[in-house]
Amino acid sequence: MVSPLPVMKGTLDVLVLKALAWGPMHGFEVGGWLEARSQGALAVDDSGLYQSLYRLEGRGLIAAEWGVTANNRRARYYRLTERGRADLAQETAVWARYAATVTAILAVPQPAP
Amino acid sequence: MTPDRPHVGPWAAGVRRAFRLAVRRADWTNAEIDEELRFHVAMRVEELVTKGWTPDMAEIEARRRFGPSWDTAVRHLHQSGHAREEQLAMRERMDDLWHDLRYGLRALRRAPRYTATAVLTLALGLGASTVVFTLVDHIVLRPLPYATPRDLVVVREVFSELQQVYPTVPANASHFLAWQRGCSACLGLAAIKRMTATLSGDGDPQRLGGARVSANLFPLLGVRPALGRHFLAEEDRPGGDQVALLSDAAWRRHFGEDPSVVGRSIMLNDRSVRVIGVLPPFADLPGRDALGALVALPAEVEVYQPLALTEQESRATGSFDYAVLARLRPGATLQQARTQLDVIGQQFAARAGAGTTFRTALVPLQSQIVGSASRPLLLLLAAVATLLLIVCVNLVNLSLSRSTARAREFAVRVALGASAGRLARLAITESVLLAVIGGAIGLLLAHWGVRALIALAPSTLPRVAEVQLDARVFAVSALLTAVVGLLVGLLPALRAGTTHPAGALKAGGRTMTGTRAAGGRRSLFIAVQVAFSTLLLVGTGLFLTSFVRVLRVDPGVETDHVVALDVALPRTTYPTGDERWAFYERALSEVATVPGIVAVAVTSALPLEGETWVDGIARAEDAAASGERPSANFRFVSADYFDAVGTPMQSGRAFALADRGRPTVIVSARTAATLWPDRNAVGQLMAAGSRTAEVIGVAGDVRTSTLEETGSLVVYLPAWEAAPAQGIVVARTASVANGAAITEVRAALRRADPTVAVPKARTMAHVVSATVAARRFQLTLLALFAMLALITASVGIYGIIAGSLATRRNEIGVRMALGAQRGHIHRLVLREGLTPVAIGLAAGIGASLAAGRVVASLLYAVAPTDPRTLASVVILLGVVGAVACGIPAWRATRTELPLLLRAD
Repeated sequence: MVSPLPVMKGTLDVLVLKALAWGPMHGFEVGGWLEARSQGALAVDDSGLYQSLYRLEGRGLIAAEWGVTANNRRARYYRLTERGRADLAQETAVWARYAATVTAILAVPQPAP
Repeated sequence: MTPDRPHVGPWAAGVRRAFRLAVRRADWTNAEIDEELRFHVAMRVEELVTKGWTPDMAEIEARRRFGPSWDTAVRHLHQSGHAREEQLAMRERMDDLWHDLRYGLRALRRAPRYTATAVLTLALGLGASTVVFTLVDHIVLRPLPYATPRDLVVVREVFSELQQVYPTVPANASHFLAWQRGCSACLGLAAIKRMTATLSGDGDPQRLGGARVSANLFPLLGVRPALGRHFLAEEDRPGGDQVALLSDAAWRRHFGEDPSVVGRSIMLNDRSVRVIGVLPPFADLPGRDALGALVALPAEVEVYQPLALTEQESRATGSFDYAVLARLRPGATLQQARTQLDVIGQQFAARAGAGTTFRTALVPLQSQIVGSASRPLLLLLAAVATLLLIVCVNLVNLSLSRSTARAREFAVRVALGASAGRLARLAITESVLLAVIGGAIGLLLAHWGVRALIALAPSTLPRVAEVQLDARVFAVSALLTAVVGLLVGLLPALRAGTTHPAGALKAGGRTMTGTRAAGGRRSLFIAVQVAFSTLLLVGTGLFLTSFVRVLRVDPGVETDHVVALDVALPRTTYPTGDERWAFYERALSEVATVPGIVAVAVTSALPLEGETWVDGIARAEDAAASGERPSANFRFVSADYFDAVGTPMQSGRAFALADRGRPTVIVSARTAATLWPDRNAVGQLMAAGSRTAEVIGVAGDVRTSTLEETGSLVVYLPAWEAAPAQGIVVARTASVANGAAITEVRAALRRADPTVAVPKARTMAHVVSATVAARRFQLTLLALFAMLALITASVGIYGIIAGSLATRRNEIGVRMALGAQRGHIHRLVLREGLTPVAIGLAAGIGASLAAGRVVASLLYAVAPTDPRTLASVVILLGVVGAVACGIPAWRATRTELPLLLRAD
């Protein structure tokens, strides 16, 4: 089994936004969603996850509200705001360009030694 | 609320706010985070247990996933949580503010008439007050650009023989030297004497304004040259004085800002003079008589040379030509210095003989320079403050009427749960918005206004070159804006806060008669505006009357057909009076050949341009007797002078060339009446200064310095006796004098000698206009403020009456339905509006009578109680008031009856 990749600095926020684009979730659900989507390839530190949530909430990209889970437990639900949605679209575009560029460079064949 | 909060609904924001208020406290935030983490760990444990972990191991694993140390992770998350709360709180405040601003702007956009009126009124008021404050600040309030300027004083002499005409005169050179040695209360004394300076070299010779100053003058003032150095003590001696300092302006104007001019030699008065330095900007000595009457410095001093008193100058007992500045020793008082100087003066008086006394008068430099200018400026400040008051009253009224009109809207908001504080904040935000917009436009107006004002200002206004809109004035204006904004916002805000929804909803839309309090408030506002407008209009009326009366004064000379050109004869080529006279004879005959010139002459001084030489006169038979002699202003004129300037000869004749070699004199009518009240002066012998001469003619009186003052007695001496090095060629033209005539006369003078500088040329009409420039300036500004006040007040009165009628449409409707005639309604409204107008008028007239003493000294030939002025103001304001009340009344009764009754 390949060991999980550490999440690159700065990309966790956009991943969290992406998760919340599917609808309101509490922190645990966000972590689960990311793990499921990456099929375990990303190692998301739970502490980092909450740091990211608080940071995004402070910036007004997501909003939080206490709610109740299906099992009748009190949980803090996070929801994407309008600004968060716009930010996600923009960050996604930036990331795509960045990744394409880096990939293209790395794909250049090595000179013969 | 903001759309990005969950659970949209009016109550959510309130709930959330209540909640946020609680969690904002640190321990609440921590507890919230702890609960969130507990939930997370529990979920993880559940998940792991289903995968086969033991609960204990699952618990450890769940915590491990937060990093190596659980406690550290929790601490960090607490910190992030607090940062988040702070950010959110800040965002919320910004959201509220933004919301208020948007709401305010929307509300203002929905009431364009109200907004435009309020913004314009405010802009005009603030613009005008900023301009005037700028002026007063720079000219009166700011310390002079010298080191510790409050220790600087001007020393003047009170000389018994001249005291009647000139309460104080400049200092005598020997007195000055004695003071320098004997005043221990002074750190130093420096003297200044005017100097004419002709700069020659390339091209036409140029006349510069100059002054000779003691070597210690600039160190005493604390002015450091921007380039080069000060004068040295050894340069302040005859022979050592071939050096010069340039003013900043002269350096820029004549030397193209070339720093290498320092150390170079220039030709000044046909002598080679080395430039040793350039002064910083604004350090120039104030020109003309700013340092006291008879100082007569050039309007602008451009070049300075050392005083270097000659033996002859320092012994001349009869001449008082030196402006003297002293710096008091720190701690020493003006009184101490004066006592010391007076003791020295007594020694001179003892030598001069019985009856003569020399005393000194010490005036702080600042009040000497701005003294005469400060009173009119402070008056303008008062005028503009009055204008601002009218503006404020108007704004408060506008704002109050608006809140009355919106009482219902606010009532609905209160009913929907808006707090009193919130409504107050909305009202204040709106006022501040108005104040900011109005203030910004006002500042723009002020920016233009200051520039216009500098262009308009008379050159006699001291320190006007220093005037510019700057940060300090901007700050005061901003403060004014804030104060006005808050004051205006406060009243409706307080009212909004106390709105009781039920009452307002019931009565808000359909008040039948308007409340008694509102009526009282309206009357008060009208009365206050009218009272202050009255004050301004009376002041303007008095100034206007003064101005017209000054212009009607007969200057004693013809104004429309005379041109005057200064000529400066270089001393090297024209060292003696005879040589100078030869030039004038040549020049006058050249000018006489110019077509259209009727008469031409030369004089040492032009009417209305001041007095320079004043001396005692007497009948020849009384010359030996001691005692008081009348003093007279002496002027040298050539034969055709009286023809040329248009001063009539009342008896006798003018000078004739045949008189050369025979001492003759012509006196003014007042001089003749003073010396020979009982007989014809022609043929009498007169002692004038050191000579005795026969009076051959009596000329009409002229105004020597200003139109307002009668001036000294005048004695004319023939120009060939002492042809002046600085002469004025006057020529009378057949048609109205203009620039073309000046050009032709100038060309004729050049034909006589191209090396003679003609520094200044003007028509006599310009001379007259220049003497009333200060008065015109004051009048223009005052009239502008009065006009603004009148407009503001009439718009205000109109607004108040119209507003009052709008809330009483039902009442009018009912009255008309019950059979009241339109005329009856009109009378009702007019009575209601004009009563406070009359009260305001009475109060305003009363106040202007009380304030009359303050302006009396600025008026000419009109009493502050002038009944014609007062009556005109009463009529003007009465008519304006009647129109302002009448238009809304007329409009109100034109509306169809059913509309009036239905109106909401």
